[in-house]
Amino acid sequence: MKPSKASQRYRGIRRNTSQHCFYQDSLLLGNSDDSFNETGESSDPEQIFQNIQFQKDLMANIRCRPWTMRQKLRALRRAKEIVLKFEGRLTRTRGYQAAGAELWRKFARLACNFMVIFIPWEMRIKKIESHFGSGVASYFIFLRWLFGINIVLTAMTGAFIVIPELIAGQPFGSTASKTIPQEQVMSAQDLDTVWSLGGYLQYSVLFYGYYGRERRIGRAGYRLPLAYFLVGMAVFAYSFIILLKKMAKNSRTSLASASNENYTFCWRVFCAWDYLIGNSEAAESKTAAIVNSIREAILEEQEKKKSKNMAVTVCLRIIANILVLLSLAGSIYLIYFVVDRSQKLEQSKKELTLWEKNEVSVVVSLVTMLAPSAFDLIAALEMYHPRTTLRFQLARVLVLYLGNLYSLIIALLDKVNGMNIEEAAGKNITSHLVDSTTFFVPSTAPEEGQWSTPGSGVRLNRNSTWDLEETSFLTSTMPPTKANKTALYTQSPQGQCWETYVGQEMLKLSIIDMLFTVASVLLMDFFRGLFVRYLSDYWCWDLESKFPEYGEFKIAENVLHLVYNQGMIWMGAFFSPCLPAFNVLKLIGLMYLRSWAVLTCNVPHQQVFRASRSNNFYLAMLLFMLFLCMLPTIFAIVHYKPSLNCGPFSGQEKMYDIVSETIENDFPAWFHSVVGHISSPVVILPAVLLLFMLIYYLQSIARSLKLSNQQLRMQIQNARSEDKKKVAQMVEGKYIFKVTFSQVLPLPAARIQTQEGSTKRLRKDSDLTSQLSSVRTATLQNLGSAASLDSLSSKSVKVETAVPSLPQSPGHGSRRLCSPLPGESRSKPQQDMTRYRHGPCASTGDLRKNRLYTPVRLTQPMEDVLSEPLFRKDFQTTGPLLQGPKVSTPVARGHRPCASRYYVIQERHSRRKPHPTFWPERHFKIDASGDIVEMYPRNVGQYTFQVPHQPCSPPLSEEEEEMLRRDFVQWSVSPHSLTNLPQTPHFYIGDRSESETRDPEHQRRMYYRSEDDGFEGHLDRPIFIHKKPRSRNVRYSQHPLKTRIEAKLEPSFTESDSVSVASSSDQQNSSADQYLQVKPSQGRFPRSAGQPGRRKAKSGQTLPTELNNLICSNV
Amino acid sequence: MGSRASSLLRDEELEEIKKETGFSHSQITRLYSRFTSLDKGENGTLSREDFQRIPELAINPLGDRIINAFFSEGEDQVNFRGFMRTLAHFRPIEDNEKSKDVNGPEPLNSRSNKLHFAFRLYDLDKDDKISRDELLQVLRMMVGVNISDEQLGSIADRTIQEADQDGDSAISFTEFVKVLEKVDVEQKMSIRFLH
Repeated sequence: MKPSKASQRYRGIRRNTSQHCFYQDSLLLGNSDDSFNETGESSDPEQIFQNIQFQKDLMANIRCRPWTMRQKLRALRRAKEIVLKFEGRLTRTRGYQAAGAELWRKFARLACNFMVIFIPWEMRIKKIESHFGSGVASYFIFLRWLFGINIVLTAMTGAFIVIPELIAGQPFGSTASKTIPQEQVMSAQDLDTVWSLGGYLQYSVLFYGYYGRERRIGRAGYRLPLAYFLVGMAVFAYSFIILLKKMAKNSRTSLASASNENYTFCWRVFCAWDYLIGNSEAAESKTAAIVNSIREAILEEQEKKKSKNMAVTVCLRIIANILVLLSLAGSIYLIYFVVDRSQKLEQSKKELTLWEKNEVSVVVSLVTMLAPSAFDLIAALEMYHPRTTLRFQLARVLVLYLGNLYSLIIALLDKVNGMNIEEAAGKNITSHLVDSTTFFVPSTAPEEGQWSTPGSGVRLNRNSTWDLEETSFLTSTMPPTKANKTALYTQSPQGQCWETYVGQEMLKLSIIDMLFTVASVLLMDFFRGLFVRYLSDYWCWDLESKFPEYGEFKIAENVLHLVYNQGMIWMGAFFSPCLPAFNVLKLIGLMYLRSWAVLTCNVPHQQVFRASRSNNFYLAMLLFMLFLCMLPTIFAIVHYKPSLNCGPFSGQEKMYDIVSETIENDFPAWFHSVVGHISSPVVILPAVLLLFMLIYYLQSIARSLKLSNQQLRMQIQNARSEDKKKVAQMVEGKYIFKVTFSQVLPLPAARIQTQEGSTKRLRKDSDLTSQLSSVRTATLQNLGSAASLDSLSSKSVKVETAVPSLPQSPGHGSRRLCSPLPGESRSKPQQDMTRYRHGPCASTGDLRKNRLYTPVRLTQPMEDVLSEPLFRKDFQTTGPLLQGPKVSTPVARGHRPCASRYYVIQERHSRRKPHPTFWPERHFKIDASGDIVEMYPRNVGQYTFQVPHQPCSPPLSEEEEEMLRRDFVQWSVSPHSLTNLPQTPHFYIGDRSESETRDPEHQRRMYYRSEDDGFEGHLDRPIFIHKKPRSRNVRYSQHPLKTRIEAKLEPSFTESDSVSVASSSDQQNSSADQYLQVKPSQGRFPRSAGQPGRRKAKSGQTLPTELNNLICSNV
Repeated sequence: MGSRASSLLRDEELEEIKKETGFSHSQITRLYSRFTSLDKGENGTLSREDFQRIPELAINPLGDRIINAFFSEGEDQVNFRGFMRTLAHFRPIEDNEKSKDVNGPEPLNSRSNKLHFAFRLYDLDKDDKISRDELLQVLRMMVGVNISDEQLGSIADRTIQEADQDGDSAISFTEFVKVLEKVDVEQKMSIRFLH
């Protein structure tokens, strides 16, 4: 049902997007042909009809259109689509299609609903999940998945081994390996025999020994031995592949779903309920599920908040780990001890009791049952997040299980070892003394020697009668008469089938494990539940909440138990082909038993935590287990010689010889040689190397992808939090403004001082006149004679000169902005705010003048900046010094200013992180902005004193004011949308073109602009500039007025120069007003500039507005 | 049966409903018969009790709210017109509806209207904000007594914290929309009305 909906949706989306694209495209095309705009946008049928007609016409005569081929093709395609869309919808076939699609959708929905019925235990698992959380459900899902694997394994072994053997193989009793030995027939049906899988069971398709050794069986010539070997390997191969595939899929889904971390709580609250639930039972389940999911969420939160006392937890964890290690070692020792003991018992006693025979299995099962509980207790010490706890627990239990399995298998192989040796010994000299057998060991089976554990050695030293006991143990029903050697002889051909023995042991283990599982479920869950439920009323304490309580479903142990169980199957499947089939039955039983027990006897975990569906951890453990279980089997196959008298490989030296034998006999010669070549080291070594390289390569790619994934996620997170912040700021905008003012202002003051110092120096060094001239040239260049500059061969010189003029203050100004000092002048900001109104007036005057220059400036400054770096390199180092408080010390003069300026610019850049593409422009702008910044502070100072001058502002002030405000508002609301800004400047220019001859004050202002080059004489500009250098830049580059300005450049030249000088002086003055240190510089500038003080005052007025803007921008 | 129902429904009324809600003629008649079957009082209106009899609503922890959504302010009866107006919120959005009437009034089943309907389920006091208390009530309804107040409170806090963008400790409609941005509301809040 889901998929169908999804697909439906997808289709809908696709349709929409395609429509969308189409509109867009048609709009695009509209450039070439306006009529495209009409395409399908109206719902008016008349129009649609017309449109179709038009498109048809278009298609008919598209050849005649003067378009490029590409355009034509595109247009044609669009036209066809449009016609199809509007016309096609009305046709009959289309109607059938629609109806068919609808039908199909309904059918798919139904089918999906229907399919759910066939997903085994789906409802059961869902029910459990709703009551016990996703963690418990994950166990059952895992179980179901294992069930699926086992079904496939069963099918494989059944179809290729068991059934052919049953149908075509020799019937029971026809050969020695398929008949029960005489001595055992009597007891073959005893319960005891059946229990230990002897008798009829031993000589059945259940075990390896039963399968015949004929190379081909039946009329079709089925190669059973080959099939046996290949299927044995295929079981492992299939398991590996399916596991890895599942893991890959899981990690993919977990990656895909990981991005949905946003709004988890909101979704939980708002989207939890399924409004279509109409069944009270379902409603109950849903409620339980919601409760669970909320609990999970709470838990996650608590875990996040948990304050940790590191020392204590670390100590506890160390202790816990030591305890775990101890118990692991203990359990392994116990198993080893039991195995050893049983071997000794076998040797010393002829008749073994039931307990003695099953001692090993029982102890192993007991250990596997009890140890996890101990681990559970220990884990409580560690105080990890429940999920981590679970993982630790799982890992520990896994180690325990592995230890058990391995000690068991080692003991088994030990026995196999012994059996082989006996066989060899029996063959050679059966009547030999003990010593002789020991002698034989090295000679006949040197390989086994390395393998044999102390236990086997002990055995070997015994007298040969122990062979009997051994065999008697195997068949377990041997009559006591076997004790004599003849008996051993007759019987050894059948009894010595070690493969069957291993298979028997594994099957026995599996059965006992199943019994214990059932017992533990009944005891630990069911009877305990009954006990607690019905006796708690009569007990002296509250059973339900204190000691025994109700059982909890222990996910870790249970999952591990499944893994362990599966490991046994893998280990034994080769020797007992029916083991997977048995396991299928066992898993089915387990599923019902467990789910019943969970629902009836268990209480939900106190702490429910989220176990992701795609839990690769279980699978990783399973993979680990598979690998480790495969090892002993493979080892046995490779290492031991197959039994002589039983099984499909009897008579061969090694089991895998069957493959080479088949290749040799049944395949053409060339194939044989090819295989020979492929298996030679010449091919294998490079292949392995290649594989390694591939793995490495893929690994590194995966790592880098992961990294980039992480970074992207972080970016998203950042964007989100920033959005939030911005919105919050907007709300509290006013307060923020004030705060920022205080932060911004202090710096300017400090900077100004240093700047002035530098400027003073400059002046002193170079004659005033020269300075002036340089300034002029600089301004000129900056202003707009970019073209002229380019043409000039002495570009570099000019650039240098230009630099000095700018450096005066801009750099410092920019600096201030970047790094706010502790608030010195609080009052200023407020003043600025008030002044901001005045600012516009002043700016208007300036603007007029500037506008002429602006265009030129735009392009030029950028160029300058670009070219300058080379020249200024030396200065850069000095720059910092100049800027710093130590400016007073004489440094390189003429160039210094430039250097400092340049430096500042760079700083700015780094801080603002401008776009790379805008580099050059930005430089330029930065300079400009820097200048502006400097001036503001001074002006502010002046402004405060010279408030009376404000009224003088030009008539345009009101308009400008409005504009400013507007801009300001825009800015504050959405800093990013600066598109409007560029336009405003233009407007100003146009208005003020006449006002070039304006008051000195205005001129001053113009100066800033001229210096800035990019400012185009707008007061508004500065504001924006500070905030967003980039946008400013863009404007400049785009400036349409360029050409015009160029034309006017020359006339304006002189004016601008003077203006700039004046402005600079003004700035200094203003700063002087505010700050005592500045004063000395004041005098000079006015002189040089030759402009009246009044101007300065006015400039001061204008500046405040700019300051305001600045501040705003910073905010 | 359908014909009987439609005979009770005046044609002009039917046309109006059709226009207002976008349901087809057959859908309206079908829903009308449903309406009359719900109407135990047989007075042409539905009361809250009538709605309570619908098992889905009776079970739903938010059923009360949903029922409430059918009734306009201060009323405790809803006529067929109002009934249809509310149901129209759940009409699936047809493919061809998306493209047309951009300029016309927004249909009742638009995404934002659907969302607004959902929003009103949570916004008890109709102040266009989901406050912490309102959230708590909803949570309480959903989980019963299984979870302590404290824990629920922390959940509510977290929820608000997640969704809140303007810092007023409540979820406004815009924030609500933002939260559900990625949820396929168009599909989830749709009911298949038989044609």
